[in-house]
Amino acid sequence: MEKQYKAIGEEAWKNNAEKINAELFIFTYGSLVVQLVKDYENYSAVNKQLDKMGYNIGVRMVDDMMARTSLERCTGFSATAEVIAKVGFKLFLNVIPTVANWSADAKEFSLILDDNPLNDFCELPPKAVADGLRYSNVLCGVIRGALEMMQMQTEVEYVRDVLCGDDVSEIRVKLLRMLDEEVPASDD
Amino acid sequence: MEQVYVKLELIGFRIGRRLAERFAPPNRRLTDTLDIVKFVCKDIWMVMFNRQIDNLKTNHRGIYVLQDNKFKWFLRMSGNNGGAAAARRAQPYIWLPCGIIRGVLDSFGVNTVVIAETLGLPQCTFQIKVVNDA
Amino acid sequence: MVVVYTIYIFDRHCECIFYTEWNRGRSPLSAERSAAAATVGGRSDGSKEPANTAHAVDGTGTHLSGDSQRPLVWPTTANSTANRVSLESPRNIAMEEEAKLVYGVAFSTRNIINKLNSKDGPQGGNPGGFMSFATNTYRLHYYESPTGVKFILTTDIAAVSMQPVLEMIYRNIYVEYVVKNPLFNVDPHTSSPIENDYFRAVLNNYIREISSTTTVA
Repeated sequence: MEKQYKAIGEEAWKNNAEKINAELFIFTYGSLVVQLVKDYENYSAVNKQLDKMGYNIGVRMVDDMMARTSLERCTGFSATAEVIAKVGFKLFLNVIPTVANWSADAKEFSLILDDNPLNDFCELPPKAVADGLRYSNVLCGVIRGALEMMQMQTEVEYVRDVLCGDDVSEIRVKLLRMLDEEVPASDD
Repeated sequence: MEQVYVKLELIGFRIGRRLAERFAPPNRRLTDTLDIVKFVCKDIWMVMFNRQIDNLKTNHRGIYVLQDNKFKWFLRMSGNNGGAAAARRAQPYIWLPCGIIRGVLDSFGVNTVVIAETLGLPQCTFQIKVVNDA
Repeated sequence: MVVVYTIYIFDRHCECIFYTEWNRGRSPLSAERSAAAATVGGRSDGSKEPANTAHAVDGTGTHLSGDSQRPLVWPTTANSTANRVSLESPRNIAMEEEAKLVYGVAFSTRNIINKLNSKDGPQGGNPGGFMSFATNTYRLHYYESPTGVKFILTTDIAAVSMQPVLEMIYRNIYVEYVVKNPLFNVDPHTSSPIENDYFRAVLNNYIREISSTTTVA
């Protein structure tokens, strides 16, 4: 199963993904974060804003991912984790994080990012590190938004970040609950 | 809206400066403004949109008009009832590239004002006006 | 040769966000139109046409030539009226009712099939594999995207499987032209009608294409 997701991700990235210049992407993201920092002057507000932007991206991106692959709705949370890592991250960022640190109840896992293109050329000022700026927090929002479209309400956050001096970057994904499908309002 | 414009333009400006730094031709220094504008039309547009500007015009007095007939960010934009309303709503999406163009030129020491408009999606025209051309 | 009558697209909130008809004889739309024509003399571009001929409400029907092929897009309901130029799109109660019924019948059928396969659950989806049902006059085809957007197509009864067609519409037309339209509001908590000339044009071309070629397997 895991192998299969890897193949789907590779295939989609190779054949169905429109590539853009990585530096343009990195510069654009960097410039955006700089602007947010200027505007909010408060790093946790910036984190929140990045998460919100990510969410708005994620709710669209998931359709794009599903349209470019032969994937169907996942049957369990562990499959979901694999798809995020091997198809989602591969298709949109060309990296594959490691899925790790499952909680005992199988409702939480981590994505360990050895490589995150958004971070390239980025060095945070000490104040930003001290005050907890999560530079790539947009990724958390993307995951959260995408999963909501698949009926999963989640909490997604950075727990470790290389830009803040940690040895790896780790995004924690926690399933809060499955969302019920809406039913049509009954006529009186 | 004014604020949105200022912010997007500034974000673009910073991107433009970095793009210029990164993609400027290593073996020759661009000094002539027309050459720098051509660099935007060809190299920078290639990096950003995988295509070049379709048409470049200048009055040789500091005004350059760049026309992209299939501006990438407009390719999927559409509304109801023909283009007028959609074109209006598309306006904020060209503030960032305006900033990028200004940023690229600025990093070569050319101070400009860049504005853009669309006559109908997905067409887009950028106008560069040099301020105090040295 | 497939004869396509109508398509309905429903979002995650059970709202009809898009409807078009092609070869439909009588519909709540044409009924409304003739009523409107009778009472207020019709709109300038509508009054010239016979009341029972479907024509583009949006005035952009130029991409199709033949009268019988002209699409009629019914701009949708309730909470979506705010940002629309509403001159051209009066609410059509009969049409809203019809859309609700169509949704209801497809939704219930899917649920029954899921249940019979013991694959029903509160998250919905179509694991039971509901594809179509037929009456003696039309066939209704159902496709649900993994993200819960529902596509319903009605055709003549001979068109046995339109699954590839609906999948194509989702993957290459809906995602490409609706989801990727930066001007489309995708706040997932509200419903927005698809107001999008490109999407409509591409969809029309595609439907025309499959209508003129022989059989979709």
